[in-house]
Amino acid sequence: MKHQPAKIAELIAKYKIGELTADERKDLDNWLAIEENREYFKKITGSEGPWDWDHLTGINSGRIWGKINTGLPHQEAVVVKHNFKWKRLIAAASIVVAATTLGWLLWKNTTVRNLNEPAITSIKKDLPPGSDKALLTLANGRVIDLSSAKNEQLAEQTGMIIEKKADGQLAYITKTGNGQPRTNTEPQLTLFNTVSTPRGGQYKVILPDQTAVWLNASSSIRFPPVFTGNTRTVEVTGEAYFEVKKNATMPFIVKIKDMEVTVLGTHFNVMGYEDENEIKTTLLEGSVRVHSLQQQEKNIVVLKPGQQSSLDKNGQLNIANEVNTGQAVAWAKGYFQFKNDDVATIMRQIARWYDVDIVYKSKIPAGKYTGKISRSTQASEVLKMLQLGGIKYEIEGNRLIIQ
Amino acid sequence: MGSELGKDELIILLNAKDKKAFAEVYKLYHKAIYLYAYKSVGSTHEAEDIAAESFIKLFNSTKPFESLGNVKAFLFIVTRNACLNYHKSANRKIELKENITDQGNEMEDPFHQVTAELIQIITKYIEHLPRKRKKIIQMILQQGLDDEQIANHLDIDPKTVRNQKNTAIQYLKQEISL
Repeated sequence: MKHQPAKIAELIAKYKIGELTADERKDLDNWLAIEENREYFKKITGSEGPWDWDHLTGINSGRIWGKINTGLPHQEAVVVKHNFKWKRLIAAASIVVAATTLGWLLWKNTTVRNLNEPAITSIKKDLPPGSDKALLTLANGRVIDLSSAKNEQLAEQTGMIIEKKADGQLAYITKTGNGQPRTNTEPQLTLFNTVSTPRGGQYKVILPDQTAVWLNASSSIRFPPVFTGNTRTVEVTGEAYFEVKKNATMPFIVKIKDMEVTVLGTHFNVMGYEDENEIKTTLLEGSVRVHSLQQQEKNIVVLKPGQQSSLDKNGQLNIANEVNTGQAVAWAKGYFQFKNDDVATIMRQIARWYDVDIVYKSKIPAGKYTGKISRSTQASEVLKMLQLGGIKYEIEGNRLIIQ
Repeated sequence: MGSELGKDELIILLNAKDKKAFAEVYKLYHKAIYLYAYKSVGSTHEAEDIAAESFIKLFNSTKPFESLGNVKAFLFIVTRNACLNYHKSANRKIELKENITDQGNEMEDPFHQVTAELIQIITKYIEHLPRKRKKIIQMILQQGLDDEQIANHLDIDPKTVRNQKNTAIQYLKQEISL
């Protein structure tokens, strides 16, 4: 190159138009002495160059301007002294909105906004869904990235083999040979393993007692490599769905924040993210005892299948009957499922799964939403539901901005 | 340029996030930015989205600009990056992020600036032609005809062809520094 880009561009343009002076012709030839430049020159002056007449003259300035205006921070439209085809633009926008209905089953309690108002369609950017990602921290402090580990034996601890069975699945298997795991040879009081998922991650773990645990995004489970003593106790943050292996002599205890769930053998979901107001325990099968560790009057409840307990920040423990248990564990089956959920509740789930920070430009929009969609879709598919309710959003890096 | 604002005034107002200044900058560069994106992604729809995004980035940029040249460079760079991202996500959706940065370097185009300038010149050039004479430029640029051939084709004096071309060139020379 070696020349100023602006100068070279001018020479090429003049060459194209046939207006090169003798001196300029010399300059251009000098520049063309380099092979790399010659190749570029051939391309740009040929059919690959920007000479396509239809595109040179047919640029739809009004449409691009419309796209900009829907994405700008303030809603007031910028008025340009151009004869932009506003009417056509608005008509086009309403067709886009109407066309975004897709497979969502949607009911909205509040009135749906006037669809003629051009809603923002996020421009271009999208967020990929979460995937099978987790870190395993062994008792000795070693950290294994499970998403990059091969499907094989990862470690051996106190008679247990830790194996990555498949993508998204980790198992603790009793070591064969001796027959029994060496349960009592070493005190395990302070030694724990931890599996933790980041935002945008999920993982399934088969615990040493063959209990299956599905970890949702931004969650963790801490457990001993071998369960000893009178109970099987694990500690959870975030959200996890359990299918507990029956063992009548060794109750399974899940600790989450200042709450304990005691079970014998059952299927249940527990959700207690830091940014949620309540710890929700949903029982699908069997029975569980939920125990608030806060000093409150009513601090123990026993759940029957189909019930859900909620422990709020004041220590109040309530039970809801006949809840939609499918909804509570939809995430473990690979779905988002909402039922009369408000925007903030939905956004917290989106934030965790798409690893994105939610920013509300002003108030959190009102309205309740119901719907079901696969968690393996791009964020935009999920957000289409909210768009139909008149919510405008924009994705900017890892921020999801709600207008 | 038909602009109501002087260049200095335009930059000051743009830095102050003035919407009228923003609209003015849009008028100056949107065709070139769109065309640049179009040559890269080959789709009108995508190119319009990318061009719109680039102007939104300009508007949201927190750094003050020193000159219109800076603004132009900013627009072309974010547009190029958006085009690179477009190709990356289209081709290799599930690849790891680390590899993507490497790929970005490989795809670096040393002629990016020349192409950007050239597109800017050519869109401006066309803008400044008298409307009825655009046919002449189409014949020159797209069909590669010379003055004589055009004169024959349109049945006009070759001198008229020259004059038309020169008027636009003169006009451009004043604007090329933009």
